[in-house]
Amino acid sequence: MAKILVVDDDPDFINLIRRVLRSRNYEVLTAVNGEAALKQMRKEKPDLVLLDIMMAYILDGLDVSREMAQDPNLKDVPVIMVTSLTGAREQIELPSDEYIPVEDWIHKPIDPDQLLEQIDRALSAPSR
Amino acid sequence: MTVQLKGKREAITIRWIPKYTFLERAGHWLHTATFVPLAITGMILFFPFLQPLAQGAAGQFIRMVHRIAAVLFGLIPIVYFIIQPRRLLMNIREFMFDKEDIGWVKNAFGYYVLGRHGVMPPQGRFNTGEKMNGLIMIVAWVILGLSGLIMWFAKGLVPTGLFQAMVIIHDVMMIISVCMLLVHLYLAIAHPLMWAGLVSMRFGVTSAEYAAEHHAKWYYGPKRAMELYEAQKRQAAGTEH
Repeated sequence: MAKILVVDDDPDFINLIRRVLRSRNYEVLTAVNGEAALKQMRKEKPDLVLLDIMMAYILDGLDVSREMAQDPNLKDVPVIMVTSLTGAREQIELPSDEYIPVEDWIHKPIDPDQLLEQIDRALSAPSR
Repeated sequence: MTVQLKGKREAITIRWIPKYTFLERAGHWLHTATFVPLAITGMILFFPFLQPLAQGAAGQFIRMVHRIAAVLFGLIPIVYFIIQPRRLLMNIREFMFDKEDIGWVKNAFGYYVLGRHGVMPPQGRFNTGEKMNGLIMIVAWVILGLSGLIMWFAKGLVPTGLFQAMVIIHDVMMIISVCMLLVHLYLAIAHPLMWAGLVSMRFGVTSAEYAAEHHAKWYYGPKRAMELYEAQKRQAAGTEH
């Protein structure tokens, strides 16, 4: 079964997501900040990463995503951003280096059914 | 800060960063709502020229208001600790002073008062001024609480010298905390560079641009914030020469 790394600094959220993912028999790995997440990924490569943006600092999650994109071993691992940050969706013309690519985005508080649907979609999509 | 969704012509731009929880904001405003009557009634009891207001039935009423407000003022942080202990510990960690605070203090007067927009050392979720305000409020909470309890319940039970010392300590701490409140009010309401403080305490969020500029260590992380700071200093030095 697919291996999913949940990266979040909120242990209650990690426990909740662990229960949701285990209900679908996913193997769950966890990390509480960006540094620990990268260490975990390099030790045991996951099939997908659920990544909180704001952890030890505001851009912690985005830095992880950026570093994954630059790592040949991790660049094909899909990322779903899970965050409580407020953002605005908008059309873009030309992505610059400042644009960080991710597979999908989900807002906290999460809807477990929606999350599982997004995970299925990300895992079945062609790799990066 | 923009995140692109792969395979779509769509991006998500982060505009607002959560800074305070609902409970933190409620606690802050309740603390304000209890501190203001405490300070007003305290000053009436303290300043000789206001003491005519504290005579007779009015004096009894003022003392009662002071004690009720004091109990609420003392309880609010305890309730916060009971409901969100993990969050409180996180806030205490973020209130710890570090070496960038020394640089902030050295430059703050020129930056915030004289309007010299030089390079300021990067700050975490709380800047040095917020940390100093927080420290004084914590010290005031403890000292005003302890000395107030002794003045309220231990008159005649403790040595006269100790009781008198508590009265003086209570008065001095009241003056310090009222001065801090006035500075805090000015910065929150009137200072042009501090508008985001009031926004975040009202709505719980701060803008991404403001966080990047005024709380760089919180926004970029300590390593990248220091790199950006050093680069800004080099650029500023280059401009001067």
